[in-house]
Amino acid sequence: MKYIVKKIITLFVALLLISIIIFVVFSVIPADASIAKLGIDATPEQIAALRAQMGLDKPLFERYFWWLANALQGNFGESFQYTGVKVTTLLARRLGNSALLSLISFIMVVIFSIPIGIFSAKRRSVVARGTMTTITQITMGIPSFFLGLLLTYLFSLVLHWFYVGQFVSPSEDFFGACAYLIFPAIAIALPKIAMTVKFLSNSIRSELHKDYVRTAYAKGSTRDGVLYKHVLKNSMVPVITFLGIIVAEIVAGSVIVEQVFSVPGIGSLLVTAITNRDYPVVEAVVLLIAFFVIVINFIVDMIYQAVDPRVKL
Amino acid sequence: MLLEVKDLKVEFHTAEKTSYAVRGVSFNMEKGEILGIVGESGSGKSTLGLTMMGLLPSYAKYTGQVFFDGKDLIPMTFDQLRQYKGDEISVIFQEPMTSLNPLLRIGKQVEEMFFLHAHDKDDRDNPRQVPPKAERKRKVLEMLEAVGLEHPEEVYRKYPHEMSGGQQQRAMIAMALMCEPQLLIADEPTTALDADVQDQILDLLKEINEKRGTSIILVSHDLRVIRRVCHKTLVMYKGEIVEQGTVEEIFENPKDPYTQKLIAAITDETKKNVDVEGDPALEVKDLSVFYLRKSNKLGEKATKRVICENMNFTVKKGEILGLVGKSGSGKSSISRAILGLHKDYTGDIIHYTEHPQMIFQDSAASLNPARKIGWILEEPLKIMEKRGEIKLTKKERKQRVIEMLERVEMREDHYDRYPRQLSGGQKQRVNIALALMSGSKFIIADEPVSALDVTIQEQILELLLKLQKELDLSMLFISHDKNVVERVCDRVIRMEDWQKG
Repeated sequence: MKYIVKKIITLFVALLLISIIIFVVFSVIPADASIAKLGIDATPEQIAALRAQMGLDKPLFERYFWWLANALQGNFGESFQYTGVKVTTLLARRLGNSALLSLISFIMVVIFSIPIGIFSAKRRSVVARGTMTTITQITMGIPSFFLGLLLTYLFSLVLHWFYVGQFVSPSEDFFGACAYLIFPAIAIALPKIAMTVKFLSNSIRSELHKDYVRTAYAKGSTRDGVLYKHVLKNSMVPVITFLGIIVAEIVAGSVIVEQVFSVPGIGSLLVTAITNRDYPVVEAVVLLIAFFVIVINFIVDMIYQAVDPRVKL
Repeated sequence: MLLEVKDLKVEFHTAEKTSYAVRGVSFNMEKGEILGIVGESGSGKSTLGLTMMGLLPSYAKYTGQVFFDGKDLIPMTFDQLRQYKGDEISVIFQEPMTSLNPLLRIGKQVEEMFFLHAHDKDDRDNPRQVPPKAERKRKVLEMLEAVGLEHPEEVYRKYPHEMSGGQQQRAMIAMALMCEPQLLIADEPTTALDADVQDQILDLLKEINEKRGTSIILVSHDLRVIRRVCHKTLVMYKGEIVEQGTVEEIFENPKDPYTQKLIAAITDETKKNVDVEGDPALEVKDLSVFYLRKSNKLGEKATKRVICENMNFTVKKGEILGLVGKSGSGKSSISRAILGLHKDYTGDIIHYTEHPQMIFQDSAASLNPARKIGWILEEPLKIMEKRGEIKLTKKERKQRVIEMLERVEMREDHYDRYPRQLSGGQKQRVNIALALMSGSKFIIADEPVSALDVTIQEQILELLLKLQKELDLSMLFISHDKNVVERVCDRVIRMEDWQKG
């Protein structure tokens, strides 16, 4: 119970710090929303007028104070780039798409990396191990956006399996949306699968040297019995933590990939909001992502405790 | 005849070298017997047991014959041998904590035996029904009780880390006996346990042998353990059997010089408790050592764990004072407090000598693996030079180190070796040299021999006694092992006297 209270406090402190950092960063980088909106040809008078209208002429501290006061009541203000549209409305429209993309990517990581990891750990010959290592190393090294470009070229332009930009929202056609998202999900998931495979197979191999494995053989277990009944669960313990990190990376990684595949998600929203210096939107998106990552961490801790009886939180 | 081993040879092939662990061993064992195998580590005694169980690593090659109940186990395939393991031959290991699966409840681990051996013992191709759940549980509970575990229902649901070392070993034994094997191999079953728990486990093994008729092979480095439990024994040295016979024969009339040495080591005259006159080297007054454990939970105060309260003792000059206590009783915390490495204490610690030093248990971990022995031993001298206490040329420094190496009975050429190139005993000698390098007259030896083999232990203890006389050292000698303490110490004090509860 105390653990939960502590986690919640951590959550709020982290979100507060992040929101401050974003405000400070936006006041330091050149140009603001008014210039982004009016362009470089605008007269100083026009800019000054718009700045006053947006409230950008007020001191940083004052702006932050009012933003925070509103945010605490759930009001994240209006977007600068889409005048008059509430930030929460903007987010609500796109959150579902991004969540679905992250979910599909994560499911891919789990269902592919665990069996491949086990398969890889079972290989004993030097050649097989070398091959597995080479494949995982190469896959790990490819950046997601580049993989995204390759995939769009192959499946969209050559094979015509899907068309970039023809994304339909899941509320209209859920399965259609999933089918479209499979491709960006592959781009996100593939390097993560490779990492998890490597991590899991290393974990299994190091578990195989433990004393309890010797005991399991001494009891008369078969090789598969030792692996599946004893080793696997033990080797999954560190993998759970690792998967928690992977989830955070998936969420972060989707920012670029959404852009490549023209998925209207919070990632692409973030990218345009940053170019337009639309800090209310940036604040909200980054806080949302941070909130999500911290909650995932919390869930990971819970699972960890459930799997390993030695862990007491 | 239960077991007939003929000319068994085991070799380990690794990239660097081939080592011969067992060099042509032959012996017989009758049903119902308790056979001891004694020897120091590296003598091949554990390898012998593991070979029968097919538990050797893949780089081990072995030849010879091991007839168990008339069938040769050596040429068997993994799957043929698997049916014997746990069913006819069971094994328990040195470290019960790590030998149990940490994530499975005890009940589940013991119960697995039913699933692994669901076939007739006489006709191994004939599958047998796994007993229903209720019956399995009842049998497991009966077995847990039979091995002396109280409240078997609770134990059934416990995870290994929730039990003490002794209880864990009992659980291992319960698991090993579940399928009523003919032979139980106990590989150093008590080495990792506290002295009084050791005795209980040994009594249990004896009881199992008497009540169930289970034959037992007891592998141990400790002759006392062998004498306590076994009917017959083999003495192994460097992969060969140097002597075998009944326990009485071996102990009363050892023929082989190695056996004689082993027996001499345990029956040696212990040093008499004498009052040493003279000035104190260390005075400890009203010492209370504790740990403040900061809570990482919110709103919880830091807790205080008290190691000892109001401890008073004096180490006189030229005396070896023993401090005994169980493992985990905080002996090391006290030595750390005395040397100023642990700050949470109250009371007075007065040193009358300069540069007090310490010798640690883990001789390997105490030496920087990236540096040569010479560098390690010169470091104290360099520190003293920095403080301006001495002034030495490079040559003089090396000379002093080499003198010290010879003093601890090592050779000049060890100067250029790395710690990993030395044996455990040699590493401990380097640690002793290191402690003496700065000319210290007071040394705390914290379990200096408990990680070493018996014969090596004996050599290190002799070295410490010799150095103590030559250099007129005062020593606080910390150990959990009563025998070791009695052997070297002038006086002995006990941890329990200053602890609550």
